[in-house]
Amino acid sequence: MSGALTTAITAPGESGGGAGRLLILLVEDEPADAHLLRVALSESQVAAEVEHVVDGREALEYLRRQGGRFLLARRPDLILLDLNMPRMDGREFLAEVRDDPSLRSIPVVVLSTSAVDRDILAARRLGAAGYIVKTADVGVFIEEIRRLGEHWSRVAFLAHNGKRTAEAVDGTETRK
Amino acid sequence: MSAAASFVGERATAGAGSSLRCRPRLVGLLAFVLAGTLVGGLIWRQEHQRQREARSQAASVAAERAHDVRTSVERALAPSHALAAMLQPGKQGIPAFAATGERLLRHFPDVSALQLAPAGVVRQVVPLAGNESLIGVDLLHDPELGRAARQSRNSGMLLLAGPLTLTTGDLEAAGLLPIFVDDLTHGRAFWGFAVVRMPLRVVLRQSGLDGLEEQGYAYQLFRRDPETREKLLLAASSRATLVDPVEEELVVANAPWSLSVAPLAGWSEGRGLLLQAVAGLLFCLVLAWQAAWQARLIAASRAHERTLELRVAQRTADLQRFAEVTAHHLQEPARRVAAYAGRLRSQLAGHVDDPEVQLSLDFIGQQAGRLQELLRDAELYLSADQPRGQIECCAVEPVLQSLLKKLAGPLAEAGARLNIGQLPPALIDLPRLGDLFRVAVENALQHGRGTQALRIDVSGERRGEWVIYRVSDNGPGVEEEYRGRVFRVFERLSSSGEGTGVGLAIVRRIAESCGGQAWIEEAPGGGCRLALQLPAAEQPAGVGRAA
Repeated sequence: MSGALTTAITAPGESGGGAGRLLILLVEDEPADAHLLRVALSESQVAAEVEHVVDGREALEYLRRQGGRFLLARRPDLILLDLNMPRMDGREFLAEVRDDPSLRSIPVVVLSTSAVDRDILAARRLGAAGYIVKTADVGVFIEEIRRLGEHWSRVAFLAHNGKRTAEAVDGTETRK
Repeated sequence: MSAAASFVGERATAGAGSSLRCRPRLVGLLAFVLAGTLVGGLIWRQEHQRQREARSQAASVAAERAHDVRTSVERALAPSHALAAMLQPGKQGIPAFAATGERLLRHFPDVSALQLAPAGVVRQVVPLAGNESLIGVDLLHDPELGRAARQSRNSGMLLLAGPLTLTTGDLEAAGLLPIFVDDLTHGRAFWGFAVVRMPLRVVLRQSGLDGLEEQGYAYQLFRRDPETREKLLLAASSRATLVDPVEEELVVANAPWSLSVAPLAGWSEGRGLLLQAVAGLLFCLVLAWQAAWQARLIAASRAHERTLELRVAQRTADLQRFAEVTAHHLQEPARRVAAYAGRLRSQLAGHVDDPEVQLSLDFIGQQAGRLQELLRDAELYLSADQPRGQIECCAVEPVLQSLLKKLAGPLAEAGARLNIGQLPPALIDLPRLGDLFRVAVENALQHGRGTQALRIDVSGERRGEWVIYRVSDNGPGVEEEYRGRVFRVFERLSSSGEGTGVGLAIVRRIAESCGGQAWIEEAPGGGCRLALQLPAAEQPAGVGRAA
């Protein structure tokens, strides 16, 4: 229940920190899985910064900057969400995010042990942008995370640049 | 879940309560009506039988009394024959009739008077005193006796006429004996009558009619007027009409008489009937109460059974849910152990010289993997009886093609060849159809390896409303005594370490939940052949059969 644990994972050759890194909010109650994800991010050389909260309720507090701990919380580029958690599980969290217009645009990728089609479909219906099966094969998991990182880094980059371009256009027009 | 279950339980209890309130009363009422009908019928039958016996007894008493009446009257008529015998041809009367008559009257005290009526006209009477008015009466034309006299003369037989009402109010009968004498001109000619008059009260006293009342019977002795059919009472215990009497016909001196007899208290025994009805009513009430009580017990027992069934169903569902959740949750730590064991091995690769340490690491990885497989199959087994998609017409070829791709590695490694024959579609959900063939082919891959190259044949045939699929291998097969056991959970026939021992149990559970079944046969070449019976479906449009 401590505040979000922030870890910067820097890909070799990158300076670390700054606008190039993907900000990930990891919602995971199990420390072993959280550690494994950090290992996977590190080994897949995804430039990412991880904010870690332990359940859905804490994640909502983070996103809504509620309480002293999260006053300076930054809006994540991606949420990685475990499904089975205490207090508020992943499904309830997904429903909350879907119903909140200010949070709806943040992509949420579900992390689950189940590879059953029914569960994957259910997550999609709740608004999940992706679904990663937590496999016991670390190599496979690292590869999955690498693909995920690459994809969402590109999306985040485009989103940031688009915002800056729009601001620049707006500034030019104002000067005119 | 428990709240919902308790709600269902309350509803069941309420339903049971309703049945307790309504049905036992209905059962009691039905039992009362049935028992009432039965008891009423028995009482009626018994009363009917009793009345029949009473009538039979009354008829017997009436016949006896009728016989006595006839005997008494006929004895009293005997002097008429004596008078006829004493008549001398050519004479108009009997000489010294008064003295003769007196003598006869002394022998027949029931007779009140003797008369001789030549040509039907009374000429002589004994005793004369008090009967003077009878002298000169023409019997053949007398208003009271004329008809009987003419009938007697015409028939030539003794005829009893009456009743004649005397001035005293007493009734009298008259016996008219026609006398015929030989006549030179006409042969046998009517001479006249010998008449015997008798008071009925005196004559009938001898017959014991009075005794009928002491025996509990009312009676009426009567004759009917030949013309008017009017009832002419000769003697009676009472003038009141008898209720449904027993009638005994008797012919007295050629006159038809009737004796009616009926019990003084009536044919029905009112008190006895009342007692029987009260006893019957009590019996019916007790029976109805018993029936209602039994119905109440049965209803309570059924309600209890339903409650128990609901509890068992609820507990079974709870256990199933618990098992599913347990298997699912155990997957998590098993996966983490396997993941970290794999990571540890890769991190230590090349840095561990001690083979014992390496072996331990390998065992941890293997066992974590095995634990995962066991949990996966246990989870599959627990959910095998529940569809995981829409039940529909499923073509099997695409499922097998997909399976071929997934198992390409293991098939190649085993050097196995998979032959797919004709496969009719089945009515099932696609995910479980996939599980069925995956387990069947994996089973053949694991246990079908023999001395020759492994060949797996998949075929199917439609049989009525069913379709039967067969997955055969050319391996060592399964001995007959083990063909049932292999479908049990965690049952394995070898300790090779391959397989979890749950696969065929999953297959059987899926097949049985669809109404079908699964069994092991011997393949033609001696290998193992797994047969699956599933509900058949019509071929969906646009799906080819060829493999």
